[in-house]
Amino acid sequence: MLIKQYTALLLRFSTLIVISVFLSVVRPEFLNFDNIINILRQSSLLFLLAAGLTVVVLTEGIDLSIGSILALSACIMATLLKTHGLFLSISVGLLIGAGCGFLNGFMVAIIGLPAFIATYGMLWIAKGVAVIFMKASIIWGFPKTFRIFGAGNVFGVPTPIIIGLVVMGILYYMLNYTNIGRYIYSIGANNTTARFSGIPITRTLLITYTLSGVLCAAAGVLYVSRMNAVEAGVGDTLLLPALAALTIGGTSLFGGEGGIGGTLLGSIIISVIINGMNLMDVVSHWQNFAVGAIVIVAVFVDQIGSAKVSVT
Amino acid sequence: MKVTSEDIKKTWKKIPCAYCAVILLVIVYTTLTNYFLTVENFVNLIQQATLLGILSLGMTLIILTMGIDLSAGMIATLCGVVLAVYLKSGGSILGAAFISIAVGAAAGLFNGFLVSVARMPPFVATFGTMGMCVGLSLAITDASSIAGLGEEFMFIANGFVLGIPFPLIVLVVLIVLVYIILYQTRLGTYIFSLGGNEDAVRLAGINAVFYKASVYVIAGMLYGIGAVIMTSRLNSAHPTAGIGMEFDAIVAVIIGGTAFTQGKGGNPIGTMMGAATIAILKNGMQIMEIHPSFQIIFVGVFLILALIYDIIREKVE
Repeated sequence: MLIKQYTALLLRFSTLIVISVFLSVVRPEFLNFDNIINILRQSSLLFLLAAGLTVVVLTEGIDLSIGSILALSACIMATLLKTHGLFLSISVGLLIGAGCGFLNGFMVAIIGLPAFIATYGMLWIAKGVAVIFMKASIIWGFPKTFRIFGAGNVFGVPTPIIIGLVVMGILYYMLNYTNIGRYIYSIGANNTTARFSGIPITRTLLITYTLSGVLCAAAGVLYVSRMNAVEAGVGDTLLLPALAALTIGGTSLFGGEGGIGGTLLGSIIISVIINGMNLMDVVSHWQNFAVGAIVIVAVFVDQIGSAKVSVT
Repeated sequence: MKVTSEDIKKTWKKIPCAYCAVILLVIVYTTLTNYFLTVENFVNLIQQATLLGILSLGMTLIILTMGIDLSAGMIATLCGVVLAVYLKSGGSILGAAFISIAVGAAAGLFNGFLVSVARMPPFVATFGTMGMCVGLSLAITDASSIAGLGEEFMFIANGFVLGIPFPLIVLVVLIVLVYIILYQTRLGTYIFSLGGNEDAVRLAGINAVFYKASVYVIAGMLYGIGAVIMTSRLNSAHPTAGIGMEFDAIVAVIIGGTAFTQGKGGNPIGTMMGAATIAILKNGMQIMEIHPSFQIIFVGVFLILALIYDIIREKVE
């Protein structure tokens, strides 16, 4: 098992290196210091989204609403920033993320709706609320103190990278060394067994989805602060890359397999690929196509790997 | 004949919530607006509802196999875009319709391959397909719409035959076809069994992979037909025209009585009532000039309420 994990990790590292070498040969500016920092900033944002999704997927769930939750909390936070303080705005943003996530968890864990349909409903509801709230306008120009989160540096290190690493550390600890982490893996591996073992499924799922919501809002903070502008449609194109990062990172969509480390690597790989396509002047339409294809191929490979083990 | 409470309970269980919703919505809108109950609006409503109805028919088949198709709206969009390009290059209307259906079938085959051969979870496979279709449609049209497809072509969605809107005739034919597929053919029996217990179907020596894939192909062809009507109605193809349409279709199927579990439901008429619910809901809100985003929120809330209703009903049983 351990050997399998290490080979998988090695495989992902070599994928990353192969792509990077290819890009630096075709487009030497890929290796510019600025470009690499840019990629890392980009991937921390993606990582926050994908990290929450990973935790949810580990329970054999899915959260299709991450992009919309990001958009909704970012819009409300940005509006508050114009009139209120930094601390209050960000807190409200995170709370809204938590609220949406909790609603998802409520629908899945307590009412018992299938996760993909409950969160799909949430996708449209949150998006609708965001559009109504913004009235098709764009809010831009935020205080310098706020822009530190996405565009600034702390001790010379870009803030998003620090935030990404901190989140990575916390989630890694949570998933591997705490009870809740073990619950998450066992629910995903076998829901029935987990129930019979007395694992508090409802509580764990509620926490999982709420956590995903909070991380979406946190990604929203990075996004707004980096772009210095926000409109209701910001989350529309974020779900697919997050799903791609997670699947490339080796988290199985059937739950119970994978982890946060893979997702971090996956996020970097996806960001490198997107950055590469930008450098090579690939039109954004085809980038859409490519990310969709990456999701399909990654899940396909994952399926082939696990098909050998499955009995039926 | 005496009606016992037992009888009432039985009928209540059989009737999907769409029927009640349609009646309720008609009453509400008739009292709130003057325009709702006019012939003009009724024709308009039918023209809006047929497209949703056709997409929902395909979605019904897929949901019966315990699948889902998040790419429905974008497959229809891609079909419409290809169709418009073909028409613009001087192709015939019949050829254009054929190409649209073929593109739908090809996209459906791709979905079917991913879901049944590669055994990917349907919502991920079709979500990936959705992303690819968005990309393709945008790339083909260069993110602009293709307009002005000709008077003759517009007849398909806006014309009348013997006083009946032509799209309605198409829809009725398709409902009958889907009904026959579901209840008169071997494929139909297998569709229900695939939703019930796929492993049992496979172990019984039935080519489950083939039948499951063909469901996605049939659904794709239905999206292709829907695309012809959509494109004709707008007299143009827009690369983002179908975004979110799959959501309406999924909601229509669910409130029409087809459940996500165990191959339950599968009544095309129920699905039509579901589609009618969504169409009436949106139509009434358009008349009352409610913001489109509120319409989306309402549909979302509707979906979740319908699912909760299903679960409560199951628990009562």
